[in-house]
Amino acid sequence: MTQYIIRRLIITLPVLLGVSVVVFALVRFIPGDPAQLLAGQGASADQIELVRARLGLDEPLIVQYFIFIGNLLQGDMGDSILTGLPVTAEIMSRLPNSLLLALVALLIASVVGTVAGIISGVKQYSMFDYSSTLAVLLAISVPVFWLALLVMLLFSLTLHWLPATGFESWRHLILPAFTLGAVVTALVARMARSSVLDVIQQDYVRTARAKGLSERLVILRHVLKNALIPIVTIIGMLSATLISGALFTEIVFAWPGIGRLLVEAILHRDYPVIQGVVLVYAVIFILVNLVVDISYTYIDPRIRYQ
Amino acid sequence: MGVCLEVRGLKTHFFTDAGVVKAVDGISYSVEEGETVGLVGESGCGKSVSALSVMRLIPQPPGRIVGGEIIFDGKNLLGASDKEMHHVRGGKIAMIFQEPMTSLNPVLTIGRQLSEALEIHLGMDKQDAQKRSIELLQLVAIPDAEKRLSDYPHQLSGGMRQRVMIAMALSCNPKLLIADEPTTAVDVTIQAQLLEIMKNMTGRFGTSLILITHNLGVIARYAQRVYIMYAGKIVETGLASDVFGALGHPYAKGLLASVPRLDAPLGTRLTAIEGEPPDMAYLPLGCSFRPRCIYAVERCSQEAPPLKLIADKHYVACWANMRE
Amino acid sequence: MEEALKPVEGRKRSRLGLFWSKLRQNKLAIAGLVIISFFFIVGIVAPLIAPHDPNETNLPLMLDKPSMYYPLGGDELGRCILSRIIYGARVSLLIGIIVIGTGGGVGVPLGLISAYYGGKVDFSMQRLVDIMFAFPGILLALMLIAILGVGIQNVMIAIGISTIPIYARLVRGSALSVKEEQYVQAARAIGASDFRIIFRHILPNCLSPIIVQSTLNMALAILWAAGLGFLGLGISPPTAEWGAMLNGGRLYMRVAPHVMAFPGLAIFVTVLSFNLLGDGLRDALDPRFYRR
Repeated sequence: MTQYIIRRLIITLPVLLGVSVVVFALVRFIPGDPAQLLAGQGASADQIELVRARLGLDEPLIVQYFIFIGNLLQGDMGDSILTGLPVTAEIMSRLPNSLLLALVALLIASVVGTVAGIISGVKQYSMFDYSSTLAVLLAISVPVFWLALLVMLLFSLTLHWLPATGFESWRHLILPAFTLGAVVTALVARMARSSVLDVIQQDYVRTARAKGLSERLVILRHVLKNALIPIVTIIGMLSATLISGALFTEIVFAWPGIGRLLVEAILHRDYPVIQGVVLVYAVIFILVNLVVDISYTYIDPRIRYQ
Repeated sequence: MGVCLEVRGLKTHFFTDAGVVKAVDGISYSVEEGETVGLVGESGCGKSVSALSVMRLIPQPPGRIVGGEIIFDGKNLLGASDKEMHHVRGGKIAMIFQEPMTSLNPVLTIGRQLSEALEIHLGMDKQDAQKRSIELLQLVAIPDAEKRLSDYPHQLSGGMRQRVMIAMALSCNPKLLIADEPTTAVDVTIQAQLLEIMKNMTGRFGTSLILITHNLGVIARYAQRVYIMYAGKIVETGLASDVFGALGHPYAKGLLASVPRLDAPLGTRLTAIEGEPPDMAYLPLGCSFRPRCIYAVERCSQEAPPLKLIADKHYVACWANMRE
Repeated sequence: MEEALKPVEGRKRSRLGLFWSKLRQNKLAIAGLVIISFFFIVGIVAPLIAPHDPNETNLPLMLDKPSMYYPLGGDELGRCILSRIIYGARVSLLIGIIVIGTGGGVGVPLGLISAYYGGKVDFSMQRLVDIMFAFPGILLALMLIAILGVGIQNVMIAIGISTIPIYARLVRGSALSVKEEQYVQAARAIGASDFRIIFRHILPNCLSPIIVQSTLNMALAILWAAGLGFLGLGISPPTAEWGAMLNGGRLYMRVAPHVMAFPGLAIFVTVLSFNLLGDGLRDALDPRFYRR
């Protein structure tokens, strides 16, 4: 099994490398002088030359890349064109907010989704199953940004139960977390349901029934453990949905996270920030997938004891 | 000796998109206390379904037991409540299945799966259950029993897993053990081991045994009486010692004849039964075996033959009623 | 007595017939198909059925409630929302089709080649796909827009490229199992060229998942295109596009919610229909699937 872990790590390295190359190349593909682009529209000639020197933009691409990586490892991602502040600082001040939102949404989604999916699977063809399946279908198709607006319209602007935008109290977290979590809940519920349905048909469940175990024990002890394991495999997909959805949710609810930072950077052509945020997102995503893959080998006893 | 299980006119049908499959269509058989009865037939003839019906483990859609009685312990199991059936399963009637590779839960230890039944049916606490589990594993000749308790199923071979299944099934001293093709999925040498273990265990505890298989040799050696099934019905039954010497039903005769003999000269062609197994959703009128039967007479396509006594305890369902 | 021998013909349907009957049973999938067809027709005959010019501003009617004149009301610049939604259908569906064409056109061969040749070719292509997948969800498209700039062409390119890895991975998996089948070995044995084997033997047997995925990718493309439009990074104004309409209506949500509600509804219904159809196709094409 350690062999598997090592192999997994080895495969991840070229991907991390490739991602850094892509982010590095991002700016170089845009028509125009990279120094100008990275210094910003209103930069003076001196400022442009400063950037050129700092990033070695006169040097061959390979050298530029190593300078880029070197700076990166020192925590230097350049300065934001818009604010002049270091990109790293801008990201770090907002990253915790994004993480908070994402984790809360994930928590809600995991709990609600798993429970709903399991009940759906155990009581297949029941009223609950049909309505839950329908809800899942709807939630997967609804555009996050539209849902965010509707939710805001209903709960904030019309009913005045919760604040619309802003970030001050825990109440501000509710609407965005619920919106972001909606799609994720549907994905979890769908996976849980199909997993339960799959497990219930297995021979060992029949054996458990043949031993005279009550249906409750069969489900709780024999079905659940086996059904929950495959759900772990979609956490990667869930993170992708969370990252994608967070972009829109943060914009609509004016949540100060890195998603909002990214969108505004793109609108204002703030390339250093774009590079930084994209890199952070990609690295987080790769790491999440890696951790999930490795954890899976510990969770499934069949793989653990080999 | 008394009667342990009596099945009368059992009918189990499956309602599918492709039609109604009459997997078991009116069979009756009985098992005496301490007796080993063989249930023989090819795949799809309904023998497994009849066993699952006794345990009432038929998946409800699409299957349903539509008729008959299953008398066990003085009660009709078909009228029993769910609670009563939980009591019966594992405690009074136990069952082992064909596939040892998938019949054990991969995420629970052997010990856990063994002690479950003990805790539920015999009310044992963890310690006692553990002790008893070790004893059971030793009885089925699994070495290093205590260590095995904390192993997971995939750490055991197929033969060992099947022995664990046997131990699990017999753990609560059931009156009846149903073994559904217990040796089909294992090597020949393991087959012999498993059958000997089952014979010893049932002999030691006085358990009745229904041995379901398509292997005539196994029945001849281990069963006292045999029932031969075809297309959801019993077509022949009798004492194992009598029947194989003088089979009456054309299907049964074909079955025996198709087993290759070691003493036949090299190059002898294999004898097969003509035709194909029946489509259980579309059975022909009259005798289900008629399309493949070389002895068929006109009556065979009009009426299905009932079981008729042709010798001591020997019944055959055939109009042609051949007897060599 | 027992049933008579039933006729055999009725049972052995062709694969196509079996597929169609299974699909027909799925009411939701059929509903999806109907709605999709409806939107396609609307998009094609847009100029004929739209009550007004979608770009004609009429300031007195700004944020007007639905009326006889503007059936779905007026937007923040006084334009007819219904007309804009109708023309928006055109845009969205066009984007979807181009995205599938380009994404599939590149992704499918990539997956096939990767699976067929294996070894280093496979390894490097897999890593390439991994790198693309490392930018989750809409992020890849967003990045490409940042490089390419806005506009309908760039939206199609950006989203199209984002779907390439989806196709590549799917087809690779499918092709790997098909590769092991006997008829592929047989084709190799008689000396068929690689090209012929890949495109005449392997590809046709991977068609089912490709069709299903394409339907689901349509949903994705429309959703992402609208998303980009919503962020102001999509089609340039004043072209009517559902996502951009949503963005425009955002500010006036409290007083005129219909401005953002209707375009959003259009996106929702279209995406839902493609998802329903895609799920239905997947179930109908699955050989193991049977309904009770």
